[in-house]
Amino acid sequence: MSFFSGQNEMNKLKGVDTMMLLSTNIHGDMSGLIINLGVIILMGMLFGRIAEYFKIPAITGYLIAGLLLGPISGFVSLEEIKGMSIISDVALGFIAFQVGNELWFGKLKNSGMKIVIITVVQAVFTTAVVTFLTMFFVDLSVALVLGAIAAATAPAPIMMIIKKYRAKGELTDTILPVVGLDDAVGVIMFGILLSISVSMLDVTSAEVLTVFEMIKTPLFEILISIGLGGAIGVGSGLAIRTISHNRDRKEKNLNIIVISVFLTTGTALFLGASPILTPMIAGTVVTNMINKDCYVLEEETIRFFVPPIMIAFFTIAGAQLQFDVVFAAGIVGVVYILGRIFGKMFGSYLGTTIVKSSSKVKKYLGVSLLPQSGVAIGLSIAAYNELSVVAGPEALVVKNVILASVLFFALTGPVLVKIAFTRADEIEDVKEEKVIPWKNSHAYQE
Amino acid sequence: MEKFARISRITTDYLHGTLHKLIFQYEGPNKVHIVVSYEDRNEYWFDYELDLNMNNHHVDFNSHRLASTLEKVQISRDEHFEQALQELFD
Repeated sequence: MSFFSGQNEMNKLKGVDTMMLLSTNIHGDMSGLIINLGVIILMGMLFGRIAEYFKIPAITGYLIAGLLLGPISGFVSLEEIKGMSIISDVALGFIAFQVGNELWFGKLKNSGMKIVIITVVQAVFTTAVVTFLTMFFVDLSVALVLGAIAAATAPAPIMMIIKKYRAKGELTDTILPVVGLDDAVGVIMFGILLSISVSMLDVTSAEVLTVFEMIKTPLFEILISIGLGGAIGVGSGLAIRTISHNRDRKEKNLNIIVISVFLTTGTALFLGASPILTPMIAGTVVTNMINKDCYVLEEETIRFFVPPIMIAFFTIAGAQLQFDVVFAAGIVGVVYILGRIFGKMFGSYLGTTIVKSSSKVKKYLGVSLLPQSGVAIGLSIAAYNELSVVAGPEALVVKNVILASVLFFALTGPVLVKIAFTRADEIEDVKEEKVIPWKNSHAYQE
Repeated sequence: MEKFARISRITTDYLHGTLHKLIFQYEGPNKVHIVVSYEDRNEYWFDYELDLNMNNHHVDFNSHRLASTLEKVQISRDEHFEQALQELFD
């Protein structure tokens, strides 16, 4: 019996009209939530536009809008944010599904083994360094999650600099495929390490875990995620392949993708599998089952559907930042940032040395991989959702440290990337242009 | 058809990508909104949006962005690409 039907029975007994009750519910509880969501999306969109105007990724604008709505003005409380958890679950499902979509084996083959080695080495090294350094200040279970999130890199600021200054050369040719694969490697590590972390936290201090017991639960969780994501992915892939070329093609595609994301995320949460790994595996299976035309259509369809969900998700993420927790965990944040810088720089140096890249690439690849944004925020919220069930304070530390450090890397990242490309001598001296994105009137007059 | 083939060549020459989709959307009697969607060799997707003024055949810049919901960012305009397009419609 659903919640509403249960209530109806109660109301019939009480002689209350169902429609009236529904109306009362909407006006009483839901209306505030719906208005809040509208304001959140509006503010996110406005600040996203402002960020884009200043050539900063829109996500930074969403985070700042969230900061204004949450901790600064108090317009949205943490209690109200809890009522919007469905937005975060659905958005995380889409993020993971899209990251999975990037894992197209043809692309891996095209990138070549050198790129795969560099990507994996720098990601694993960064995770190891951040885990090692932060474990002196927080529990190992928290350090593992922080380490896994540290691997993620945002391609947007890198792409912005490369396009703006028409970058060309070996560093440019190396960084673009690396950053394309980096998130997938990061999400896989995150899924595995978060499961281990939850199993470590989910024991009382009196219990002593054997190694087998410690890996049994995460292993089981990962296997369910692979099975579930694989099965739903195969179903979705087959369904997308059968869609005919008619006018309803986009609509049908969207239906299949939404069903896949909802089913993978929902069943993963229900069965105790990973709500990140499951949709990601489904995305990987789908992308490898369909041809390029279908893939392009699928991506376009997602892009058409998810923007308001993503704006809401990232703005809500910003609203969750708690300054007191950030200050209390200040040293962890500083260690995380320094560890990530060290990990990316030396991890990239190690990876590029293994594959015998030029000294220019060895020297500047790490700095160029420092920007961080969307996927890292998504992973921090996913970590919070899972960890908060077993260890509230630890979950708060992860969420706040990552959100604060993402703001740091989002603002400093583009500057660092530009310095790296300038020193690598791969960018042209391009004069600044005057673009007015609010009004499309900047023509080239003869 | 020749004009469209030339847009494909312009996209390759100036934006260093493969033209994937071209949208012409009429927004009034004298204005056409053009969206050039292209893919670069690292499989990143971009949308270049322009407005074509049918009276004077001027191509006005609208936006150039990385086509990604997670990594939405404005990318610089390419004046050579816009000039080549303008010459095409002149």
